[in-house]
Order: sequence, then C-alpha cells, then structure tokens
Amino acid sequence: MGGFIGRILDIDLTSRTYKIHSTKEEWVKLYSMMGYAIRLLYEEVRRKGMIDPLGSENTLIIVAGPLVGTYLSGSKTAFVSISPLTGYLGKSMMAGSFGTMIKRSGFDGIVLRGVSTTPVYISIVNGAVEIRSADHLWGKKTSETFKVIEEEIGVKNLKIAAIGPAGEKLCRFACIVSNEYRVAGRTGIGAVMGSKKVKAIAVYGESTIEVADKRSLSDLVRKHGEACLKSPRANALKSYGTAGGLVTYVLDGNVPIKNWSKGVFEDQDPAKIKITGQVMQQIYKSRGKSCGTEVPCVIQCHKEVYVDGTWVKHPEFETLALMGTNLLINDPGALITINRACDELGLDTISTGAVIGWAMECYERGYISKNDVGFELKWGDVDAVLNLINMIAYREGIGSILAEGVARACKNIHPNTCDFAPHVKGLEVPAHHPRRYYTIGLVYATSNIGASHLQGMTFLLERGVALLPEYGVEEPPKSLEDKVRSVVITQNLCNFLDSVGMCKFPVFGVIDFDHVAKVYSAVTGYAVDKDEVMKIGERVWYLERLLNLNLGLKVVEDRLPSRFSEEPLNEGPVRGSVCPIGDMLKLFYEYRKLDKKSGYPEPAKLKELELDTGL
Amino acid sequence: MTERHERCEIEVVIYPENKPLKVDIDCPSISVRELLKVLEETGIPRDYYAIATEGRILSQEENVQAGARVLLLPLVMGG
Repeated sequence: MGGFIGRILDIDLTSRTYKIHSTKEEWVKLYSMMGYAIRLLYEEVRRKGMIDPLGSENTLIIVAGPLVGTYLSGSKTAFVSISPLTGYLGKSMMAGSFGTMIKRSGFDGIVLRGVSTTPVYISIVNGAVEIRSADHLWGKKTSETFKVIEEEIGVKNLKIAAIGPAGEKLCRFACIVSNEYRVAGRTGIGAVMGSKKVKAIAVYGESTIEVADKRSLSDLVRKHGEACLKSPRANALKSYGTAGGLVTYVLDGNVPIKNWSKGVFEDQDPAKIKITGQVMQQIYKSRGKSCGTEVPCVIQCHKEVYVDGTWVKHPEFETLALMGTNLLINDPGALITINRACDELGLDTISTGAVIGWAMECYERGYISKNDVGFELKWGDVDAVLNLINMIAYREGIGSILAEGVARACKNIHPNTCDFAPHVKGLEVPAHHPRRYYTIGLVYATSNIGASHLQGMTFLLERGVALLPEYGVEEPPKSLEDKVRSVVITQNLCNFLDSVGMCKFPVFGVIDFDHVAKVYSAVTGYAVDKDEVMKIGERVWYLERLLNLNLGLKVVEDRLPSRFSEEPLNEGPVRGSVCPIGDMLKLFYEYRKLDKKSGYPEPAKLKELELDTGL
Repeated sequence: MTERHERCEIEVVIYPENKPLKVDIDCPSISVRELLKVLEETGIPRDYYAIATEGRILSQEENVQAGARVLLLPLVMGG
C-alpha cells in the first residue's frame, strides 16, 4: 500500500487515552482515504443511531489520502464528521502541509472521540502522542494559539490546526484554521472540535512516505508540472489566485449580490470594481505560497498581500463574493480586514457572509430592528459587518441567533424570512450562481454536505474551460440531460480527488484523468484506469448518500432555495433566468438510480459498486 | 454577384492593464467566436478569455459591431 502509512491514531478524549489501529486495506482499496473516514463514520452511525453533532457521541475523523505528501498538489487533508449545521455528513478539505505532517508522524489519520472535561490540545511529534492542557489557550484567537503552541513544543516546521473563539462557543459554522492559514472551512467542523474541548492539534514528523513506483511517479510529476505551466487556466490562477476570477464572474452574472436579490454590482463596470485580485495586486505587494512540502505545487494560487508591514492572507474569490458583492462592499482593504477577522475567530467566510447578507435583508425588510442588533445594519457598512462577525463568534446578542446558521436563525427571527435564507440542508450557499449555471444549482441541491461548489465544479464544464473528453464530455453541456450527466460525472470525480487528497485546481482543465489514474497507480501500487477512478468516486458518493439516509435524510431536502428557481432578477447578466431545478432533479434521480420517494439507491446500483454487503 | 466586404475595426481593451488593441474585421460585425479566433493569433488562448460589453459577458454566438469597444477578460475559473 504505497502512499498509505497503515496506522490510524484513535483518541478517546473522555478517558484521555489512545489506541493505534491498522488501516484496513480492503476499505482503502474500495474508497481511498476520505471515503475510508466516511465508512468509519457510517459504522459509528449504525452502532449508535442518531448522533447529536455537538454531543460526545459524534466523532471527528481527520485523514490524509495517499497523494498527500507524495505528489504535486497532493495537499488536501479531509476533516469528516456529522455536521452541526445539517445533521448529516460534514466534511471539509484543508490545503497546505498539515496532512503531510500527520503522515510523516506515522499515521494515515486521527480519530477524535468523546469529550474532554477541560480544554486540551494534542501534540503528535514523530509518533509520540500527548494530550496537553489548553486552559491557557481557551479564548485565544488563532494566531496567538499558534504562537504559544509553537513555543511550547519548540519544533521547527510544526503544523497546527486550531479553532478560534467561534469553535469554542459552538458557532455552527465555525471552521478549523491551520498555522499556514488554510482552513477546513465548511460544515461547522470547528464547532465539533470545540464541542470536544480540543483547541488544537499540532503535528510534526520526519519519516518518509513510501510510494510503490518512484521512478514512474517522478516522470508523472514532471509531466504534470509542465502541463500546469502551459495551461492558461493554471497560469491565471498562478497570477491572481482565485480572486482573479471575481471581475469575470461579476460580468458573467455568477456572484451573489445583495443576498442574491440584485443582478448588478457597481454598474457592472470593471473600472469601478475595486475588489478583484487584479486591482488588489496593483494596490498591495503580493506573493504566492505553495501547498505541500515534499512536492510543492507550481500554481501557488494561495496569495498573500503585504499590509502594514506584515504578510497576510489575500481573500479568496468566495470571500470576496460573499463578503464583498453580496454585502455591497467594494473596498479591498476592508475585505482583507474582514478575512483576517474570520481567520482569527475561526469562522467560515462563506457561511458568515451568507448569514450577514440574510440578516441585512431582514433588517431592510423590517424583520429585525436597530434595537435587536444594537446598531444599524445597512448594506455596505463595513463597521457593522465587523461588529456582527465578533458578535457571531462570541455569541453576543443577536450574534447568538446568527451563529446557529440561516436555516435555524430564520425560524427564530420570523418564518417568512426562511423564504430568502440561502441554504441547502442547512449549509449556506456559496458564491456560484444557480441562475447563471444551472448545473451548480443541481450540485448544491444534491451534494451530500449541502450547498457546496466543491462537490462538483460544473461551472468549469458549462463555461467550457474544462471539458472531460475522456469521459465523453467533449463540449459544454447544453441540454438538461447533458447538464445532469455532467453533474454526476463531476460529483464522482471531485469525490475521488478529495479521497486521495489531490487539489482540484491543477486537474480540471489542466490534465486528464488518464494521467490521474497513472499517478494513483504509481503511488499506491493498485493498477487503476480512468474508469476505476470514476468508480471509486462514485462509490464514495453513494456511501455518503447511504450515511445521510441512515441519519434521516428525506427526498424533499434535495432542494434549492426558491429564490433561485422562482424569483428571476430584472436586471444584469442573468435577467429573467431561473434554475429549472425540478426538471433536473427528476433526471438526476433517474441517472443516479435513486428511488423517487425514499431517495434510496436501487439495490442493483449498490451491488455494482460493492456497497451491497456489510452496509 | 460577389459580396463586397468593407474593412472596419473594433477596439479590444485588455483587462486589467486596459491596453487597447485594434482589430480589423469585415464590416459590419464579427461574432465573438470569430473575434476570439482572431485574438488567438496574438497569443490569447480563446477558450480562456471572454468578451464583455455593457456590463456582461457576450456568448460565442453574439456579434460585435464595427466601431465597438469591448473588454477582454481572463476566465480564472477557480474557487
């Protein structure tokens, strides 16, 4: 099993003890590593029944797939649990070197069970595990936490994943932040860690990660690196990061504006839009940071800007859209400050921006007042946004209601406000626009974690910058049938990439999945082709679906907020368009072979994917 | 009878430098698809750029009229 370590660290926080299990090769072959974590979670649910996401019975599983630390852009660590936002599967991928260090310290993953009675942090240095007191860290922001832990452990290149005050206060969309300022942002994984009273996990290791065929792998790395350098899409990401997409997306109608109620931002005039990556990098000195330590990524889409004598994280496209266009903020400095505040407090910028956008609409429409908030909550007011971010993280005043996420908060404020609460299954909607790209509407509606653009990056296919001829997608999908098919294909492929720990950016539109299959074979020693790659991803998707069905998922929850399907905009690039989600869902259920009433996959489908026994 | 084409031009402004580029076309208009093909000859890969005007991206099938001023935007599709 090249690329895998063969050991999983299993920590019981209640008893403050740990065990080390062997990684099950059978599961690794079937699902690869993120899928392995989901199978573990599935077994937990089967054993325990319904699970309170913030209770001691929930389990947080952190795994690094076989490509992590072994291949270019193999940088993604999976955080898997039951989500406190949705009550279903929660998962989020963190870029950077955290997963590499888990593996170099001697583990494929870490399982956290139970609840500690007092705050702790976990130190794992070259396989030596310590559960240390974090009383002195509780309440601290992430940067202070990193500084103290780095001093206490005293090891250079220590990688740390920590929660901020938002995770401690069980804000349901709290995230986990690394000391490279990469985040496991979505589905409230930070709140799960906070509920277990785990402030941070610090890892360092020096062991080598073995691969099956080193010579072939070197050749594949070289070819992939060359493909990245030649790819216009990869070069665009290298130049400006994801932030470089904002201006095009605004003119394409592919951003949220005023909680998805408007179609025009700054008169749609690029000269007036100040929050694009291109403009920000004219204002601030910038640099790219590579993911990975053993095989650094050549794209370096993660950008930093130099502000007030220090390098700080450049906001990503999603942050610029949810906090910028969505809240009518067109001030780059303000967005850098907002981004830093969220990282320090441990808040997912997507959900936070969506929640604040919804709250601003509630304020505008009179559902909440100045008395409720403590100040005016007007569109574009940066100070109000920063105040609200703090109130959410510390659960102060109305911030405590908002910290529950829009799906719960709307029921608390007024049932009518649920009509414009942007979420699917409880997870807030990210920046890509279902009125513009219908496929992304279907991705949101049928993703197993709720509204996530990374569970099927179909806008790449609809726009035509990343086709998949190796899977028969030779031109942008036009008919609804083709759109649904492209959703299914990309859902499967995204799940495969997540499960092996590979970033999606250097793949779609850069290199084909024949190459990816060769990489997986060279790392692991399992001979796979592109069809087997698809099958592993497909298997993981259905496993996730089964997990959610066991947790009570109903067909009616495969939905899209009605704003996207029933309320056309009267201006801008997507004027008059609504997402035909009903028709697409019907086709999706047929294509996925799901029962229209129960949502369960047909037995024949499960048998085809070897999910019919032991589950 | 042979159709006679008058030579005209459009101005393509490249974002973010706002560098103008004059492109000769056959009057009275050129489709976005054809325009991107012409621009590809100057090293701009057609699948990775979009043409915008009046606050929106134009589809490949739409036409740009001679004398128009359009914007060339990179398709940084990520995030």
